[in-house]
Amino acid sequence: MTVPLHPSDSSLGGRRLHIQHRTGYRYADVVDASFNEVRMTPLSTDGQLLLSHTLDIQPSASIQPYTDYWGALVEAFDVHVPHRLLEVVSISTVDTPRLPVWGPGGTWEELADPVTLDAQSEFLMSTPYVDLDLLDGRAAIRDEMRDQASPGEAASVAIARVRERLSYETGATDVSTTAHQAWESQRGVCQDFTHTTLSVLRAAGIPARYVSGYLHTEEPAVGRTVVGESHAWVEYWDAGWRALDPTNDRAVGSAHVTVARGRDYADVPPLKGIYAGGQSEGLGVTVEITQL
Amino acid sequence: MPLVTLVQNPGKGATVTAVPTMAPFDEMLLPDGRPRPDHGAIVETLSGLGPSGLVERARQRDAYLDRHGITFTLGERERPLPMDLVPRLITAHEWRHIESGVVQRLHALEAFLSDIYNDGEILREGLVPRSLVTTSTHFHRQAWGLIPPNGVRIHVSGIDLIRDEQGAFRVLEDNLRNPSGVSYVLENRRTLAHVLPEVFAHHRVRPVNEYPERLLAALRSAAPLDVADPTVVVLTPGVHNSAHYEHAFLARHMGVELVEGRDLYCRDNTVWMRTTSGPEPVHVIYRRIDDDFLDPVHLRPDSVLGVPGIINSARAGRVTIANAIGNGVADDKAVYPYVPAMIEYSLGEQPILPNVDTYDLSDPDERAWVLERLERMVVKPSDASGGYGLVMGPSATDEQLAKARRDILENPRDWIAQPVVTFSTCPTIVEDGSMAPRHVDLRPFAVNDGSSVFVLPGGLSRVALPEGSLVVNSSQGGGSKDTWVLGEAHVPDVETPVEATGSSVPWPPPPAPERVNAPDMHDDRIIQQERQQQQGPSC
Repeated sequence: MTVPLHPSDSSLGGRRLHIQHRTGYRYADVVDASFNEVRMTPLSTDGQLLLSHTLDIQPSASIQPYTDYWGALVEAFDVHVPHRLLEVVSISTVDTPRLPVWGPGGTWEELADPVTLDAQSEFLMSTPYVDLDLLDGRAAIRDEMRDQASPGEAASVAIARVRERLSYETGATDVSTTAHQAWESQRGVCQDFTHTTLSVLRAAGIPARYVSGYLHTEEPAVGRTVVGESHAWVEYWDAGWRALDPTNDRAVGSAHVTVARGRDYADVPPLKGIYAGGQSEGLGVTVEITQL
Repeated sequence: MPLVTLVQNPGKGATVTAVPTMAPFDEMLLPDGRPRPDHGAIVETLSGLGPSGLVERARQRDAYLDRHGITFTLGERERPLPMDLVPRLITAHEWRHIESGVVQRLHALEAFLSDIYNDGEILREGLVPRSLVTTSTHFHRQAWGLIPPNGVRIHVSGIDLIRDEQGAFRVLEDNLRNPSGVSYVLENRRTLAHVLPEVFAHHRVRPVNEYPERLLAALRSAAPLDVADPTVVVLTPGVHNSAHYEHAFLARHMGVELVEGRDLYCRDNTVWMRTTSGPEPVHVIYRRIDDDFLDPVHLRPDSVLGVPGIINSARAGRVTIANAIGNGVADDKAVYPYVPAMIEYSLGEQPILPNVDTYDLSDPDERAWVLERLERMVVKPSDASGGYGLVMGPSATDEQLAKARRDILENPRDWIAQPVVTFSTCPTIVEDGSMAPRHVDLRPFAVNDGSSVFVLPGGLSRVALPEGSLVVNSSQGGGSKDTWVLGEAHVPDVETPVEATGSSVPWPPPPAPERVNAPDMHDDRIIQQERQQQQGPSC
């Protein structure tokens, strides 16, 4: 698909981003068959517009696309030639929205309404990653949040306290680390900041969901390819979904690209698969973003 | 909460306070000890044999079952399924009622499943709380958007019925995942005909042996639309499964392959079967393994019983999985109280077969009410079947009651409570060869081929063998009875097309008109006539 190259109109705040996301697995032994699913396609949602997307797979395989329960665009494929290396490269072009202007938030009473509670039940529940037991000081944060005048103010408290507790550090946690473990270790990456924030939001009665996506540089950088991130942040329900980025404490807008939403990481993994054979190691993830 | 009221009214109906002290209804004998109509001949024949004659026939039966390897695995032990020599009779009139009630319920449950795995309209309408669906352990989001080729999700069902003190049939639970026991329906008939042939002499008993043929036809019509001559297989977890006998039985009688997960593989969304003459494509999988083990790509990654990639093959429309994945959300016991409301919502009809009263333990008021009289309640885990985890209040120890109380308070969503309903009894041969009343239930098996629902005239009557016991599950040591549906005594007139065509009822049903002035639900006769009139034009 050819995309006309219009430089982004920075006065509008939105950006046109070209994203290349490369990842995969290296297997210890030759693998005869593997079954995989990729969730790397930016959504057309809330002012964000997907212009083009391709997925390259090595070894090559035919792709079955579908939309999952959470609304993510999934690309499923199985590989049946003996392989030691599986590499996927997702290339997308997307227009991001300008910074959203939110209206006034709702009230605690609205969140306690049985209709809201029922409609948002999935985003209030505990999950394997997001516990609601709140050991070690998170309960005090929940109480402080409940003392705020509105859910919106409570969400700001959540972000502030999580950022006080956790310091950003790669390698201290891994893909299986839970909110509880990250809170204990006081370190983590965006996934851990997000799970921890989800735990206090939900415990305080504020529906909250996990967002997987990409992050561009804070300032526009037209024409320059930068190393981006496979990123995660939070959306919480307060008379509408509102986004927060606990890792960077930045407003979520033109630099954020939304790919998938769910209860926690397990609902939105960018790449997951199974194969028969010995150990595998991740190839790591590189994301390169070019503002057009 | 007006919603709850709306939902519970139909289920609770006229007998909210079923009196537990009432004598159970007996299937064969009137309260004065005389046989019920249609039961005279059988009572006479059995009495004529006498206790010693019946003990001798029981010996012949055990030898027969043993010789034919008809066994059930209970715990570590394989044993013959205890089949009582006294059959349970269902009159033609009763059967018409059961059949139409089962078909009606299945229509509503199919509509519910189709809705929650696609559009979710029934949830938006607030008819069933969304949180009840999303917290069901059997709600598989992986199956969302997966549309079966002929629209059927409940290819095979076994809805458990009981008969209350007034003799009214009620639904005890829905089994929409992998209901088992149909092989015993066929084997019981064969066994009884062998060891006690004289009891058949005076009755027109409707045959049950067409089941495998009906099942195969339904599975074939569930195949992907572009396949002219589909290959059907039965997928079993293996010989260690308690129902393996049945899996082999059905495969043999349908003339299809019995396979395990390792015999199948997916490649580019086609499912292949390994055979000695090379791989063969498979189009319909009648799977008798649980959802969680079906596909390690989407469900339990450690499963070695399933087939990796099978869900995406089904999603691509290349293979049909029967029963569909995720049906368990509709037979979740916490969803069960809402089935009468589903029937009204999707069919515009009153339920023909009422529920048993059920208390929603996530409602604080109902929970408090139940906890005050737990010793008179049956408490069941909402996501289990087969009688596992059930606490029978009147016979529970203080310790068991205390544990049930703790469990309920800790996780109300995971439990339901029902008043103890005294099921009907049927004379059953006990140790010394005499006959004594024992409690029975009834599991009619229904097969949906996409154009009609076939309810096998018979079904499995399970009997609680210990005196006074109300637990009939074979996994809990229950036995079974040959179950006879009696033929019509006369040629049915033109206004009763349901029985005139044998036993298929159209599916999907013709659109139901808006109902005003619905008749009182416990007047079965009126409802039945109305259903038959509605079905008339399409028969």
